[in-house]
Amino acid sequence: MYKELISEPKEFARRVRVDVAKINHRTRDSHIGGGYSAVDVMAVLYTRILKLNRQNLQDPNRNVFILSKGHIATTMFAVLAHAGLIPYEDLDKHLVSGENYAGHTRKYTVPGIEMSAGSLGHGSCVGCGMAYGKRVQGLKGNVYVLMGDGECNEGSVWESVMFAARFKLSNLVLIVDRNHLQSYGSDEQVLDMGNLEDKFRSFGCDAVTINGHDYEQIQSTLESVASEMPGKPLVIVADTVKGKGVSFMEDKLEWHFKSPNEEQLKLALEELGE
Amino acid sequence: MRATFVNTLAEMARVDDKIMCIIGDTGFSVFEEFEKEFGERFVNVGIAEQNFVSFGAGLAAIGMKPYIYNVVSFMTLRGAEQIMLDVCYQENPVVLVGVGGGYAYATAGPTHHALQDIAMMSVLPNMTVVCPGDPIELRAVMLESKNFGKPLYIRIGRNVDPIVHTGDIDFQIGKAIKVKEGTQAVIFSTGVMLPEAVKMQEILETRGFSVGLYSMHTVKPIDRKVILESACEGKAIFTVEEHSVIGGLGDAVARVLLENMEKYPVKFKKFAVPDVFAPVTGTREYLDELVGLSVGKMVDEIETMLG
Repeated sequence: MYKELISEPKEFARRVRVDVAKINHRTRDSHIGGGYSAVDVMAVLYTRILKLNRQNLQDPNRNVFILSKGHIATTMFAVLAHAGLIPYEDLDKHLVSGENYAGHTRKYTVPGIEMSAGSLGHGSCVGCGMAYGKRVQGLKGNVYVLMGDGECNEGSVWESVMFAARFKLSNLVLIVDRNHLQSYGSDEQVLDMGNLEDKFRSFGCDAVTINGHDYEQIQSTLESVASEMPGKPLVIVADTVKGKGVSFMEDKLEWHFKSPNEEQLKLALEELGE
Repeated sequence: MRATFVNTLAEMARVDDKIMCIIGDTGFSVFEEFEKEFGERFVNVGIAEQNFVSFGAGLAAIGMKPYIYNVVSFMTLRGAEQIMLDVCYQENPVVLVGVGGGYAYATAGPTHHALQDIAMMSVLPNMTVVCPGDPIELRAVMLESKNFGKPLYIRIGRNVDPIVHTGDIDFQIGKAIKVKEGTQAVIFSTGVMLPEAVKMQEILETRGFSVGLYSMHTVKPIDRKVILESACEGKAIFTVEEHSVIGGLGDAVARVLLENMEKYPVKFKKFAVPDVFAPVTGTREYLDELVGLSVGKMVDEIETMLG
């Protein structure tokens, strides 16, 4: 059964968080922290901005959403289910042998997945190609790429950012989920990238830092994208908290990988209002 | 071959507005006319091979037909993961055109020697690997590529590559082209070694050996049929390529032969570059001689094997 799209991003995100906790409890294989930091941005995109439905997923004029941090596949699938793009029951297939719902998102196997991901630093480059290709063909719609902040360690990100600025890809929006934690330590401990907004601006983009859990701010920022004329691409540095929404997961490195056990699931669901 | 590439692409781009040409800051004095004629359908991505490949994949994903052109060694090594994940894994029909196959940039040194690319590209699922033997074959594969619809790697030489085929050719990706008939042995040549292979065939003929020659422009998928036809006739089989002895044409042919060894035991020898970096500076001719890929050395070895 397909779900009806919930119009409120807050409720959309809450339901996604609930499902992700349940799925990761079952699978014992998780990237829950980076999912919870990104889900509010994704909720605004899918409820207010992208305007995707099952009929327009192949429309060349559609908005394109590229999940570059493909390891939050669980969250992505839950988002697609609540957006009515895949059957809700398909969430039970995640990580089940013989099914299509893998630990990293894969194009063609699941509707609404625009790019196979798993290795970091690809989404912004492929996004440049899609944004440029849209422009050459006179196609409408923007290309939105969601990346991790740790992902910005990758040199390819900066190759693509230079390119996007040089070719004035104003139909490209890069969103960085700035949760400050990578896989083995904090961003600052691993490779201190400093002020990302300044860095992106110095590469020739428009850049803005927002609260990545403030639905209204996310929405107004995304709505400000003016893509009709060539201009600067926009980078949104969404300041977020890893594990956001469940107190014992918030800002904890181990919840990059950990999955909730029985008791943790119960606590998490309580906090999420289930 | 560069001129053949850009001229053929321009001809195709005039009738198909989806065709684009992408370069990685290479090809000075080759693409200026194309750029002038096609404007935004020509893009110089800069010296950034990762974005170069993935950008091409993104274009294909949104309906364009990108031809991405770069120096073989940089494109296939620096951009290897992008080729695997963004082109092959996602079935994006990008045509990758690698310039400088083999020792084309010989004196530039091992950073520019392209001796691993056939192996690298062949091991990627969904990839097809074509090494045209002369500009006529390059033009033919270009014309076939426009509706190929799958990832395709085309490995070309550099600037002056002699024309081998004087008449019409029956070109199909995956089907070797017969250049000469022969009863005792057959040479399978790929890519820019074709002119050398022609000379080898001629010398062997004057020495009394009847040796056939095929241009095996497609290394993947390999033309099993023509290999097995030769094997079942008991011909000795030789492969010639300017590529590492590991993972190139020789290995592709050897796999077919080995699987059929019991039925068709044959004499077999691959001529390729040994598994070493060029130890000294040298021209293409010098390095080929050094590694045993000169016409003279190869002919002598074949003569010895044929008795």
